[in-house]
Amino acid sequence: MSFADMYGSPSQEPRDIWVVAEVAAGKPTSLTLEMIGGARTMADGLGCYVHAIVLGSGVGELPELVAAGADRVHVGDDAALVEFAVEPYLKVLCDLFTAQLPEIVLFGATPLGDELAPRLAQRFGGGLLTHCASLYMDEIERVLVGTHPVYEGEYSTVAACPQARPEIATVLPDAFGPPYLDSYRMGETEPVTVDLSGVEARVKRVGPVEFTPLEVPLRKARRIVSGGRQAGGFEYVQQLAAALGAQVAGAREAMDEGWITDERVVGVLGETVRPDLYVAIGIRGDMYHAYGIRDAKFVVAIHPEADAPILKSADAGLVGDPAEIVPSLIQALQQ
Amino acid sequence: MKIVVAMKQVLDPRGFTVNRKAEKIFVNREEWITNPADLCALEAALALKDKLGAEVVVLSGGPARAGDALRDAWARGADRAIHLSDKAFSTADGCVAARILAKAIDKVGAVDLVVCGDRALDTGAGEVGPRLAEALGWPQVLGALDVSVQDGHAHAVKPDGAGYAELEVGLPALVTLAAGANQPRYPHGGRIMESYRQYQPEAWTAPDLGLSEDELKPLVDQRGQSFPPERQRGTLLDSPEELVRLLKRNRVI
Repeated sequence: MSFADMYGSPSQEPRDIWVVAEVAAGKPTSLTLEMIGGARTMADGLGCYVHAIVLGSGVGELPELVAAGADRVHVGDDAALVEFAVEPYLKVLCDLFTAQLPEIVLFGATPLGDELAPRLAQRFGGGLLTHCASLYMDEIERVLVGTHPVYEGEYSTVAACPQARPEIATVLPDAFGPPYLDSYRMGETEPVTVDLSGVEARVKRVGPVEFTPLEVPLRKARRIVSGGRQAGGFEYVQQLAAALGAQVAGAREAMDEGWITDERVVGVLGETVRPDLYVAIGIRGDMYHAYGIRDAKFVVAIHPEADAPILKSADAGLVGDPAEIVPSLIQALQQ
Repeated sequence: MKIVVAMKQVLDPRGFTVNRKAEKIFVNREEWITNPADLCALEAALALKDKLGAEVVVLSGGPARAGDALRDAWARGADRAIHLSDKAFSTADGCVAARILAKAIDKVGAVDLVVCGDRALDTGAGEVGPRLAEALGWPQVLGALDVSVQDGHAHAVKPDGAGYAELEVGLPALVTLAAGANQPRYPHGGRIMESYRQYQPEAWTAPDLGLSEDELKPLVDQRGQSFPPERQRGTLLDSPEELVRLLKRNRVI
């Protein structure tokens, strides 16, 4: 007997936690597993079940979802769901949630979640907690409480939707911490009836296009990748900048090497920048350079020497040869 | 063609500092600016007006200060500015805001395209755009860098991996523009003066839009603020994957 038999017929009483899973390269994304792990903890506190929903075409076996804590995996497999499109995905989710109203729905704070979660919330007349950096269940009130960074992370606001059912949230990575994967956990997989009659994607992808984004001066650029003498060659800087959609700059040494012109120098004698993300590759980071980036929101340093001063002042540092780190970083970015 | 631009005002982040240790926000200079992404949306609408000839209608909710944003938009070249002003709107959350805007767009009538910023500078939620598209029953393109209109279809350019992709959507549709997508034009000095001396934005209230009290009840309950720990410097990571996670977590990428 499965737990669904004990349930009896679907009811309109909102119940259970539903997680909209995302799959990349045949495996659930780490954010999906985290959400299921977090949902498992909440469900154990509330005494309810965790459902995972996977939509796509040719979805294979996903034992990780059950291992992370899902009691039931709903698989919507249809040729029309092969690429993400708002209308078909929304239709399938709405059909599913109309048959059984969930208590909580979790999306990842990814492009898919950003497109679907607000529309779903509006359709169900519900509230939405967006981009939750942390999320917990207030078990006394039985309400989901989310912390949401505002003003680009300067501080956060705490919010809840006590009256809304379902309570919908989009979740940032690390909101729950890594899940406990138990390969002995039992769960069931169930196909979802996909009825897409009269629904088709209204936004069509025409194809790749040549586009020159607005030219922004270096001091106003939102992302900068910068190289120094130990970058091991300027091509790594350029490759990473292309992958991030960032501007290219350098320390003074990069100009001495002839890699950049003088208007691309960051530091006391060059530009003072204030980007959201500044990646310094092979820059030791003397005080002249540090002055130029003192207003940067997030500084990443990649340097072969562990005693480089920039590794102490950067928000995140990686010690190693840029020739090895940058290609694997680009690969990690593309996943 | 009729284009509606939805706007909101945000507190200028240069005017306040956040002390994470004391868990306090110190407002030195309270200045309200139009959300930068919304200004880019207005510029996109005005560019379409220049090219194809369109009527640009600007909508904004908020207290009396929203009038400044609307006058500014009018001075930049919008044809009509409508202030959705009602005491009952002041508590609006994303759901209610979308409802109000949808009713206002219905009242404007025969709208082909709605543009707005992809996210507000303050909340960064990016929920009102898609919610509004849902309330109108229209398709949506989020985070576009450029939008053009051809034979009843809107074409939007969006970043796609390292390159860019073109998306096509039939009108009517909603397109949100990313901040920094374009360089908003400056209003003419004389027109700024005119916008205060001669021009008065229209004001629509809840009864004008036929909104009941129930529809204006917010669902999101704000429960205070929390402050992240002070910036940790000098953290060494083990792998590039860990770095990508950290960047995503901080919403840097």
